[in-house]
Amino acid sequence: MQGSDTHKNGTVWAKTSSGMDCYLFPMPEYEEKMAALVVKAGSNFLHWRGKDKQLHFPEGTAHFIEHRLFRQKWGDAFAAFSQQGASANAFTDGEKTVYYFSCQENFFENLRLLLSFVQNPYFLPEETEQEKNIIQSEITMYDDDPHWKVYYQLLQAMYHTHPVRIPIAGDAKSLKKMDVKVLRKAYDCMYTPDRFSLICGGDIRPRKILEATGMVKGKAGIVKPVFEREPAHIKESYVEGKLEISRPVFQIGFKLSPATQNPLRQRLLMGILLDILAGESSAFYEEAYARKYLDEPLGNAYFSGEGYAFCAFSGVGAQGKEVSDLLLQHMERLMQEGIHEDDFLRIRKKQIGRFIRRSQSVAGTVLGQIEWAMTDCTAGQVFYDIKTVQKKEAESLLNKEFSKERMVLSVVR
Amino acid sequence: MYTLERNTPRCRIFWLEGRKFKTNLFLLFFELPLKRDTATKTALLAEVLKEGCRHYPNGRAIATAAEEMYGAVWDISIIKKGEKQLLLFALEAAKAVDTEEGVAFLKALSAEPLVEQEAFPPGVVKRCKEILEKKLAAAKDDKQQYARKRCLQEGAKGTPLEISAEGYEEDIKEIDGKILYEYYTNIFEHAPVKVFFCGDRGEKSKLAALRKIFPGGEPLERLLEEKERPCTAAPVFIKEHMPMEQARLLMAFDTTARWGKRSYAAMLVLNQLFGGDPDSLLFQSLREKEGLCYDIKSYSYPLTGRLFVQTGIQAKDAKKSAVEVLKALESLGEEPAEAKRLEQAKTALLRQYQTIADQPWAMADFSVEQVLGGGERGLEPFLAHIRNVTAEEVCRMANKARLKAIYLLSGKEAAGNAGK
Repeated sequence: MQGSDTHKNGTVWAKTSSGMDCYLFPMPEYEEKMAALVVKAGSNFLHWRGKDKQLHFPEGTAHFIEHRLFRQKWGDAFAAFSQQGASANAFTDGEKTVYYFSCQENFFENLRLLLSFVQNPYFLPEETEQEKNIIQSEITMYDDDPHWKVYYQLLQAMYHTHPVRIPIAGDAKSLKKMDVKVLRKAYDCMYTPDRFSLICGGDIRPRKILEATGMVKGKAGIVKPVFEREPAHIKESYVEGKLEISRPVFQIGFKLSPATQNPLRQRLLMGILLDILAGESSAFYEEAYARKYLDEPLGNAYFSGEGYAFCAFSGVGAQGKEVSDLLLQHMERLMQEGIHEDDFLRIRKKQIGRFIRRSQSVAGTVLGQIEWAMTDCTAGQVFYDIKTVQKKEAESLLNKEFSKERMVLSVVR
Repeated sequence: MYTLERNTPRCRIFWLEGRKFKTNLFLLFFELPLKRDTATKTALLAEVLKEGCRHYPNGRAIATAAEEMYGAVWDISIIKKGEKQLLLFALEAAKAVDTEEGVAFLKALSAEPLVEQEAFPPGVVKRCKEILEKKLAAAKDDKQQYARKRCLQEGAKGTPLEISAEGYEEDIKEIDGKILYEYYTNIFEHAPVKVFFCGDRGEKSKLAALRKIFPGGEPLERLLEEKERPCTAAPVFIKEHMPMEQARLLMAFDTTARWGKRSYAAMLVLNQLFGGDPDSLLFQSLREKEGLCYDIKSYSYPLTGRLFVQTGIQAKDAKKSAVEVLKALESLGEEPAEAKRLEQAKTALLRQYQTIADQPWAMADFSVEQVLGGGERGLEPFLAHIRNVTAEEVCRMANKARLKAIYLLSGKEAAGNAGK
């Protein structure tokens, strides 16, 4: 075990001998206890390379494993959590697969179950076939969701090769390629303890949890994920799709350089920058509202992972083109004039408040740390960084990363 | 969980213990009956009041003020709770922000609206009418949400529950700034007001300032609830079509369970066993065994004895899926759940309700329902009801559940095969 963190701020952090990171948040006044096991491999991790071998998996493989992993030799882990008074679930995104439970009683029994079932895959041919119907139904459900469609359209116009452009569950064609062999091989690549992070919150006993982590065995992976080089330029600047909806939805995205130096700080600065640019108190939104381009502020988010980074503004209405033009104008003005000191301080204050708000619940704390664990940071470090980021850093990011040439507009009508 | 702190016949202020939280939560709402002729006006009010007040004359000014309060989360919205329509003002701000400041913010938004010559400003009202119109016209764009709403309408026909709290497109036109301001004045002066504050004990007395802005005696009768009308109509089967890939199947049941009664807890346990979680009958049979769907669940509608089932399927499987749902409910009525399974369902429910004490919004939501339901019994008696539910009671509840509606929303191409 090792443990060190300059800004841990109440977080207990340790690395187990098997290489797993543990982030523990004792919250003694709370009823709920929660644990999440993060596997740092998600739907983007399709290609792997070892000393003398290369492996390629069908799109949607990580998500398929997530669906089937609850099935154990002895029965259904879902039901076992339920019998032990816990409710469990899982999700996959581009970068990670996460298994979690929450409970009041039997925390350690449930923790042992979590640590055990993720290490013991039991894939059966017949069940693998049956799961294809369920996942196909999930894929079809998202086909009717305009927000889902507009997001993937955006990514497909932005990225040439990076798998971030592929929907998490894959498609009907890739589902056909799934079999027990594929799942097992992919599992062996992705599920190694050096890719695991365990995050627990609530009225927990850290020492006992760290003892339980002795259950996690195995060695560091011998294969590494590989990503084809992605060009810096976008593929298309405009893309439009049809869903026959009465109110179009749109997303405006900017393709950014993946953060190599300090991804955490870049993420936090982006949060502030996007809000200054297009948040509900921005000059942009005031003008867009007055011109009736928008009825409510654009949503905004920054996404980053292995080999990619982008931000997206999402909105509703028929004037996506006008909105993107106006956004560019305000962006250029901000580049020329610089960020107003008051705006920066106010939005930074807002981010501090939002961080505090999120960390007052067990689920908020654990789910927040899942994101920070992806950059090997603790929540304490994040809080320190939010308080110390500077206006000039945000300005430098704005000038370096944003340009019309890297902007994509995606519309679904 | 909550205590009544200040009481006038019209304005009641409740306090929720929020010592362990890092924010203060303030909720203030007017409690209105859900009526077809006022639903749209109330919905429009939420839009207009968000546009500014005397102290913060436009949306940007309000947003800036909230950001200065450590990014306080605020909203003015319409909430449908049972057969009531709530016009809600909400604020959640870090404790670093003075309670007085939070109270002043809520007061400014609710009590000091922008008014010109006894009317809301015409420009603001015009814009908000356009916004509401667009929102209502776009209701069909979210197919899942739309199907849920339609099934509720069909399953609760003839009761206030069928009324949409978001309003009606056809009613917007006739509303102007003067009519709307008169309506708000009437609400402001005569409707019942409830305030919920989740924060530190030492701060709660500061909420008394809000009581002073809602003086007056008993609320006017017409601004109180309507009497519940029992719905005895036969079940309806509705098929609608729109361009979509996956069909949405919704089923509505009425268990006649009553809020605050033991029967309500029996209905909650029934729901848990029926389709409340991944271990439930519906999830296990329709998804895991039959592979008919990815998402399926049952849920109860707040403050009522109504149960709903929702799932996404292929339209060709609609009949089979509906039959499977009915079979699952029937099986719950045929023989009592085994003791272990019943305990699991109750444990899951108890956990769900006990952990609301960990989240200010969940605590407030539960407390609001308790107060609106008239029981005001607190969490412990509610949990005791759940603990005491027997397998036989669940069985009886399953047998009492009457199918009210089956609603299928599907793509045009598949419609011919959907069957009845």
